Amino acid sequence: MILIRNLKKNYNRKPALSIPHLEISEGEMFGLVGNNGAGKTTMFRLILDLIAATEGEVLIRSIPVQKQEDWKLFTGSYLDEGFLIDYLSPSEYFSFIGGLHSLTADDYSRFYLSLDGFGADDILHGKNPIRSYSQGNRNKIGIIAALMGNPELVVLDEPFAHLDPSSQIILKRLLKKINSERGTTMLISSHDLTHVTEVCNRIVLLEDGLIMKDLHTAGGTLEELEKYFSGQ
Amino acid sequence: MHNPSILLTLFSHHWKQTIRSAYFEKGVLMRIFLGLMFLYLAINMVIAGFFMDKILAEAFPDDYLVFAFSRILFYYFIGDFLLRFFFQPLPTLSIVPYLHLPVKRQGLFHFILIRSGLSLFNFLPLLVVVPFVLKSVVWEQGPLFAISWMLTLMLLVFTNNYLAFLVKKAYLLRTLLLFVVLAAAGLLVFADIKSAFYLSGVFAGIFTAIAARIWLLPIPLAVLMLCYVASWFFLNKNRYIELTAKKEKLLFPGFTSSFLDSVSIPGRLLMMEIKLILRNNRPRKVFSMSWIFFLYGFLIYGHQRQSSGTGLYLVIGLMMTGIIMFQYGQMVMSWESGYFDKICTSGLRMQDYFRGKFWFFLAANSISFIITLPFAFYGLRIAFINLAAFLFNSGINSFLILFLGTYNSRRIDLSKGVFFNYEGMSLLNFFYFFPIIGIPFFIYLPFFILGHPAWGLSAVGLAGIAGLAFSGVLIRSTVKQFNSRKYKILNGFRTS
Repeated sequence: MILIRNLKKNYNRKPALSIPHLEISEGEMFGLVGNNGAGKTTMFRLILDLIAATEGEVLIRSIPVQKQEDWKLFTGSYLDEGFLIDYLSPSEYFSFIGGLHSLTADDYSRFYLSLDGFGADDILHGKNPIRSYSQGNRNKIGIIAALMGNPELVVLDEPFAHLDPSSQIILKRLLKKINSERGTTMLISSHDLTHVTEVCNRIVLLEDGLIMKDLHTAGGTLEELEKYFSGQ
Repeated sequence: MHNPSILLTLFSHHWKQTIRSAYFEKGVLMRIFLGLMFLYLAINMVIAGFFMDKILAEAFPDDYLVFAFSRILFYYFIGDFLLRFFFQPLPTLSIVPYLHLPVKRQGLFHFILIRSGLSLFNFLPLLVVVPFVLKSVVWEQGPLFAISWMLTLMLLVFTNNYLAFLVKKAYLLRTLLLFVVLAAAGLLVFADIKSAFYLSGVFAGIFTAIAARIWLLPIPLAVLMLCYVASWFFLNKNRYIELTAKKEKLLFPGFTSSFLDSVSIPGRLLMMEIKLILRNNRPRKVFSMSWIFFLYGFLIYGHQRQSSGTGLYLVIGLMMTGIIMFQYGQMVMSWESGYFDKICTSGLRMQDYFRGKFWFFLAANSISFIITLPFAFYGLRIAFINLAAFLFNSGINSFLILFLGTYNSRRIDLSKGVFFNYEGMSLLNFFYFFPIIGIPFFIYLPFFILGHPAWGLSAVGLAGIAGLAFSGVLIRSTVKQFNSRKYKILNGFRTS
């Protein structure tokens, strides 16, 4: 699904991210962990072509993201609140995003049903501007929009942050369901090691812009990550 | 005063906030340019003040100087009050970060009120008044009168400051009453001009009478104190309302299911643009203030009717038929800086995005053109000139604005006001009008010199039609231009 070749990003000549080679295959649940400043968001922004790479390239289904934009048609993403059109109501926002994927009225209700309760009615059919919602609810709105239009690739930066406990559990289930039913590739970063090991089948650990570990999730993965981050 | 040191700390924080705000930190050239512009305005005001005696002697030959100036002040205060009423918010939310700290709340309210009193705007009249006083008043009425006159004036300025706040809060729900007051004020001013009833004369009489008796100064001082204390009590009483960000209702929810939504992606984008304007403070104000420019038509067309004015009429036509596009469009993408990441990653093709902008410009220009149609009353020629201007604005200037827009990577906070707000503006914005007015003018000029102004107009119109015909190509090259600047723009929107 994604091929990263010799990707480098420097800020003021200081390297922020350096990935010589990384492949993410179709249908993979790819987790990204690392402390603040490790380069997680930088990596996602490079994949989504939101910042200029100092060197190298990213290919989504062999489309070079820096040169073409066809990948946008099958990619859903939510990185931060800079993705929300905050003067629209949630339903206006969803219908704007859905419109880009030519959803019909039927598609909307089917989509809302498929969310399995992620996002209550006041979010899905909310009539207040998005900027008047709480941070957790804004986060939900962004995630829901990223899942619209049956994307084949989903990129989420810390989706579990600010969510209430029930929503965290529902979201984990939902992401796994979408992945297993449709084979959607997902890139998820998180500070919560439990969540990410539970959801993802592959976990990459970044530190100072370098890949330190590339693990396939198994019984001892969580312990291994905890050990790493506690500095032992 | 409650603990003056906390007030000092608050003011030092406010100072830091000001000098660290986006446009102070970035763009040295912009800072220099703005500085020069303010300096120029200030010098103009000082010069006006210096020659005020000559101006007044001509305008009000029957009154003595101070009296005549006081009459002008009457109009100034009315205008000042209205400006404050509509544009000056009290920065109540700025104290929210201090509310949970062990700081006396009353002191914080004093901070808000004093801060609004100390705003630069309140001291601008001094630029005109001081040279006038030094040149005339001191010599004619004596230094004591001069001092007491200026003190009275400043007391009135500050009174206006708080009075506007009080009226704004008290009548917010009763806007109707305001319009009644406005109409009454308009009528009074009209009567004043028609010399039926000299309200400004009455005002000037009281004003100079107080100034002449310095022991009467406590009266305006008391009025000021009254307004200040009333404002303070208002804040204290309504603190839960004033200090919480309002739970927002969706304005104009009816736009959701309009027919344009179902048409096409550029149609959807056009709808979004309209929502952006209607639901956000700054774009809404920019948009609503644009209409003032149509008054140019009355000013120009009403005053000269000789046929030599075609060139001037063309410039005016370009301004009027494109005013919304110019005013709003010069920050095309900056308006969307808050969510531009989404624009660039959702399934939206940049080609459609720019086509949406183009459609919006076309719609805005068409509305402006229709509004200028009644000016044909001043001569059918004007309608033709405006048609040529409209075509040029739509076919060429629209793309010029999109092109120039890719060089603006400054972020805009949609919720802020318009007054003295240069957020999202770069140096470029001050020179926009040169190419936009200059290019059509230089297309027109050679024909005019050869004695065929009508051909010149046709050439301007045809250039516009050509632009419209090749809009597909022009949109594609806009996308190319955008792509070459994309990361700079995105980075600017995220950080600046």
